[in-house]
Amino acid sequence: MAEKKTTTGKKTPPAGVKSTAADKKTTAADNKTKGTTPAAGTTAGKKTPPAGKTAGKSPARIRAGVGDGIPEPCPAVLREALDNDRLDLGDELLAVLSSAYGNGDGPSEERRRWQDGVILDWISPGSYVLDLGCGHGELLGKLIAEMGVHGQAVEVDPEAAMDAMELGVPVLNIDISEVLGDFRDKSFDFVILESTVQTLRDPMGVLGQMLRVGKRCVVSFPNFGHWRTRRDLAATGRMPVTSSLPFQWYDTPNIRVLTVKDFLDWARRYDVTVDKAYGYCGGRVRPIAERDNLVTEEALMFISRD
Amino acid sequence: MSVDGETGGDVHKPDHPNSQGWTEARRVVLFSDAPLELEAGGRLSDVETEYETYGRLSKNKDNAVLVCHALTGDAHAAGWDKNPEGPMRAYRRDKPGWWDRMVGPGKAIDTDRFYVVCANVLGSCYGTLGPSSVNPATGRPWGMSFPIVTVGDWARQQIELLKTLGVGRLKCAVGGSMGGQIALEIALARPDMVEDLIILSAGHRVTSQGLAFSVVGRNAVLSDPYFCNGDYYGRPGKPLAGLAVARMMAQITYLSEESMGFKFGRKLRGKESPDFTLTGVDFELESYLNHQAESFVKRYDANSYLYLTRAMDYYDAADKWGGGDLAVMAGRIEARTMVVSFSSDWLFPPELCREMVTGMCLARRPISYVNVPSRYGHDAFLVETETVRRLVACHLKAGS
Repeated sequence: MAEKKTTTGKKTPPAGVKSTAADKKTTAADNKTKGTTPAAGTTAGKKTPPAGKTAGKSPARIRAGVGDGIPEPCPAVLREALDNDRLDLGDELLAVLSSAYGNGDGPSEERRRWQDGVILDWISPGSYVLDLGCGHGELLGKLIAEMGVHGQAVEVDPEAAMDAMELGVPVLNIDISEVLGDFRDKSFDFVILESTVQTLRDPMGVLGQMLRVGKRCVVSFPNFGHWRTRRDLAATGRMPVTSSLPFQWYDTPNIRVLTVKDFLDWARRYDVTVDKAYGYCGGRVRPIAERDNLVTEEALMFISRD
Repeated sequence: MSVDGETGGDVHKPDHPNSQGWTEARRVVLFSDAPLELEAGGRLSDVETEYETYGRLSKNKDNAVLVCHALTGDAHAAGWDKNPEGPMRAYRRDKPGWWDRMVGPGKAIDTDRFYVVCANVLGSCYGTLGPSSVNPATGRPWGMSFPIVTVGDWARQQIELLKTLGVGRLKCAVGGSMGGQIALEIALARPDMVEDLIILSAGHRVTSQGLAFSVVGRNAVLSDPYFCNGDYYGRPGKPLAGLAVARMMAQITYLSEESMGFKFGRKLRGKESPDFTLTGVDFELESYLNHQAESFVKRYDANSYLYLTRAMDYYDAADKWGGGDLAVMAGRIEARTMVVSFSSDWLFPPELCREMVTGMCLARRPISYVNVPSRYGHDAFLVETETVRRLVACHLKAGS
């Protein structure tokens, strides 16, 4: 329930955001309109362009509901770091980041599933939903039981798959990369890839197939661009280990290391629209923009491609 | 019980709390008012059918589970036969029903919860009308004059039986191998009737290799000098040698290289070096196949073997229900469906089961599919008890 409460927080955008977040009932057409209005906030360009001028040029726009979440008043050192997405390891900036965003050690155990709350808010009752890497099936089980969605899940771990089946989730116990070819174009209203993309051998292929079979897709991942990850690597010379990323290099399932910025670069390059982005930032769930790369511990993006 | 008698768990004696205890087969005459119009032509009336039931039908009649047996199976799925009469049922004295590890009080198909029905298929030789039954028109056994029966006919036979038992809708239809095909056929023929469908080690058709083995098996029977065009009943000699060869070969298709290698390998039978003879039994594997064949021919009718394998050969659900298109076929299915294959099964290989799953995906039908890693080949659906128990229990639990 904590997650649920957190996600509703998006309706009260942090300072600096002009638009209220598009709520879950917003249609794709609505989003398109919003994408070209100043209220859409930041486009995912190099710099924040003047609103209304360049939107539409770059395919990877974050269309609605972005916020920078910068504390007020914003210390100059932090403003500069965010604007340039650069982390100079000065004591002053680290102190500001720590006090504004905590230690950045990822969501606590009870908030681990914050993404489910965001996704639950977005999915409409009775829709067709494909959950790739469903784990034990909590999310899709809930969507099927409470919202009457037509759910289909894929989970490669047999034990987890059977747990999901017990919850009434139909599960294909097959590797994600081997199953997506079985579905017709746009046969799902939503395709979910929650905390899984970083484990895939062929993320490019899977993302492409997802966008083919789904009208809208949700992708979430731990953000390696977070300031603490960067600091740890730079300061210790070792790959960071956090509660979001609790593995050593030799046993990590996370074989694809990516950041918010990397993801948006990919979206731009391959004509993928980022309809909306959320992040887990300093203990809060909120809409994010590209410039939140430094302070986003985990990111969740709603994407689509016509 | 697996076809080679291997047990994948403890055998529950009749007094065990999880055993169905002593069971009694029942018989009913179906299609006495209107004959069964057979799919391949012809008709049959007064279709005597042997069946067993376990548990009780609920007041709402919503707890019936139909269990469909495999090629050489029978209606005795669980518990211990109270009265195993005759040489063909003698094997039941030492063993419980063929799916006793799955069906019983507190088991995956829990007879405290479900009303379980299992019926012997048309053309078989365990109490149901078949080629060894007496043709009332001639007063002699049917033999090869028995009409060709199909998987579709079996589905209609079982639906008719359920009707007489007061069951209009199934909580679940489940079966392995040929039984999986019958369960699938029922879900296709009567989509409104099946809530849950579980298909184990079976496909919408046999593979070309499967078809080929089936052809060779029948040829072994047909070329036995005692076969006499199927009219061997009451004669001193029976086509046991031909049936034995058919069974030996079929047995190979039920196992895998790995399970055979693990169990027998090239081990010699109680000797240090081979005897170097053509006809002696030198290898453990030879002895095993001989033993399997011997016990099989005591309990099975050669004509039934021909009719049932032929029916499996002819079955192609995609052709019948989708004009060759699996997605069209799958689109008919309303049941919550689970398909289970086993990695080393080469009779109904995972790739074939996967085709059916792809059809379901294309038709946007919800589907659960597991390819269980196993070395037991086709037999795995009877031997991998723990996994199958868990899968079946998961599917049934979610649907309750």
